[in-house]
Amino acid sequence: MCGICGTVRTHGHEAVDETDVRRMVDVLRHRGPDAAEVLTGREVILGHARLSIIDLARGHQPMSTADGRLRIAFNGEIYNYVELRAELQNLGHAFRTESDTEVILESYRRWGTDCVSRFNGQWAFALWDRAEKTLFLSRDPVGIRPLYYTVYRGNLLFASEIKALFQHPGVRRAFDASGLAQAFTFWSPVAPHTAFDSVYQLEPGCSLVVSTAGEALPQGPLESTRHYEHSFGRIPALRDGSIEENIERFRDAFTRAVQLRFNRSDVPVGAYLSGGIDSSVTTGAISRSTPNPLETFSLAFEDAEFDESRYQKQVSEALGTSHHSIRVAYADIGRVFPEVVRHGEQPILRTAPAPLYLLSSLVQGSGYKVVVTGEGADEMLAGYDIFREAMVRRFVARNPDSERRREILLRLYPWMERSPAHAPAFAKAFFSQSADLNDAALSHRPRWRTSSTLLRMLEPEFGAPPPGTVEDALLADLPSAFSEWKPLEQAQYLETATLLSGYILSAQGDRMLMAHSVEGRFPFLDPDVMRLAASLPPRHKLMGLDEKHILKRTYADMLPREILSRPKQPYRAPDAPAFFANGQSPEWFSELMSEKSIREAGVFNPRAVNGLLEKCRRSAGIGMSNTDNMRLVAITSTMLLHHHFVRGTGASPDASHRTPVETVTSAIEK
Amino acid sequence: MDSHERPIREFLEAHSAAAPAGQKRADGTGKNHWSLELAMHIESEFNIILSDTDIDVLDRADMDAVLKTVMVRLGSGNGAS
Repeated sequence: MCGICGTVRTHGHEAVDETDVRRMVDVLRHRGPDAAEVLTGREVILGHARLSIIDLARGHQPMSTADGRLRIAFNGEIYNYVELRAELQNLGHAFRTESDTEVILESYRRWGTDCVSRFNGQWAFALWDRAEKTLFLSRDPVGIRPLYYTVYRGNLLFASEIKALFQHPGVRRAFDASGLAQAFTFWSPVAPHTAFDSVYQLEPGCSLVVSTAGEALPQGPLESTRHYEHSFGRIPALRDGSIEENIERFRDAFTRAVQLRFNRSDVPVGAYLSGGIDSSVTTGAISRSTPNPLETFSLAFEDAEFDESRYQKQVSEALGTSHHSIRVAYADIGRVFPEVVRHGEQPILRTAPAPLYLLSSLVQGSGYKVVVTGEGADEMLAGYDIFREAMVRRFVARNPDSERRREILLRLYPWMERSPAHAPAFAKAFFSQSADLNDAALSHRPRWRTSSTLLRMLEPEFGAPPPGTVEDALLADLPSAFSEWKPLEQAQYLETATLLSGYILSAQGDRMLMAHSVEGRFPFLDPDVMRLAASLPPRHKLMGLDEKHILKRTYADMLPREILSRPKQPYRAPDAPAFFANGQSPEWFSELMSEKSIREAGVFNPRAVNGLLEKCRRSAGIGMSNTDNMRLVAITSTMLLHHHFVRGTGASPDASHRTPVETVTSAIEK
Repeated sequence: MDSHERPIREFLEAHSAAAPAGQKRADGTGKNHWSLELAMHIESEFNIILSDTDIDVLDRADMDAVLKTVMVRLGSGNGAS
């Protein structure tokens, strides 16, 4: 895992020079502390900060082919590089290293830009082709690795993180009102947009070719080409297969995915263990394939409402792992929250990324650079409550006059039977959310409506689009096959297109891991596993209301029964208490959230914010509603973004640990 | 296996494994919410709408009775929109 950046001079101007790119690399050193290098040519400058994982001695970057035609700055891993290397060698290609980076270069030489369709991995790279005078940028299928860009005086600037772009003094630093409206509706900006004006991200599963022979690049998102489309029901044998047949197919694909991610590394690999099914299955599958005890890492919370350590211990003992845990208190979250937002680079509506920031610190402190995690299982195999809730709402909407149908809510939330006093009010609220059977977003509409109440907190002058605008735009851009998919598949698509790439893998994933130089690997997001999951009959994922049914059936013999049968506990962290517990707020909080500061930022209505803060103070952050918690975290994180990126450039205040960036002024054009 | 039978049988088997037959009805209220889950599953699989009377039939969790109910609804053309 690494950080990449650079520029291509599409317009013949030298608006960006080597010094700019050195500064860009410098702010990406948390992604790559092992080495840093800038490669300079007349038309292109590539920067790279390296976290050495494969071919530690010879995998330096930016890497060039022997003939000097191709140069690359690459962030990620191509897990099937061994097989591709052998295939290319059979076709006459010679290699100088054992790295996956060189396999990308030779794959491109052989198959051109289509090479990415052969990759099994997670990547963001920029590949300069001197012969064609083009820069080829590409991003993996679901956007595990980030890639941002902006256009400055007709030239392209790109980087793994936005803060690198902001190191160029000419790049404007301002919020994008539409990007924030997306974040306040879907929980994250939707690619190609970001929270910042004129800063874009390459869409997951897309590639982009920039030619220096062309005109100056226009402002706005650049036209990219899709190399991966998340689609459903494409493999008839799976669609028509029995549960027994599909269990075997899933087991085979998932075992391969886990082994690729565990074995393809020249440094030791650990695993996250949350105590839920996904990470337990992942940990179990690894443990079965290695004779050595696996190192596992977990979060524990002082607040019992969020704590899963009992289950973590149970799984660790059952699988024989060497377990490490970090205990998180309210104050820990408040303390690290500013750095969490600086790394995350987007508004967040929950504090959940903060404990993960602390967890990656534990991994780093334990001497590990790579962890395998269970991310992606909930999206691919229908694990979230939103899928079950949509099914129930659809069931009731088919015959809204049937009182009997409404009782299914007791099956969805059995706890309601234990608190009957709350049940009628809850049921009324639940079913009052309209469920139009023709609504493409039936599954997500309640979440979006709840989140987008945040838009009412904005200052009118900020210029956010009217409520509903970003939802309409998202739905207008759905794939043509969307209407042919089953309702569960439509919901899975929406979840993947919004929350997975933009939040789970980004603000809560890559950024929290890379903040402490740790690479995450995700077997549930292996392309073969994703294709398989997308072709399963929906009932094999959600059997009635039993989520991730096939996963539980496949690994029923591996995990303790209590782990398999426990109700899903979504990963959450304390929100308002992190900023108000015991009547104390973190030092930075009071000034940041003062009326003066809110007014100067010009994003939120100071009176509305003040009212919310008063409510939090009165309750010491305890017992706040879901909506108020969300509003508080969203406003706080947005104000921190303003502090870090609009007033500042996003650079870390602490640069003392960094080694200098080595600059190679290479004759790229030779 | 008949294409209509498999989704129903898989559901019944999955839930039999998860909850022995006697527990299907005893979910606290004395009402059979389990049959509602089966009804939801069937509607989703076959794109039909069941009546409350049909759902009563599902209470028996008997393969033949369930299949007959589904076939009647499919035959009647009472599909969901």
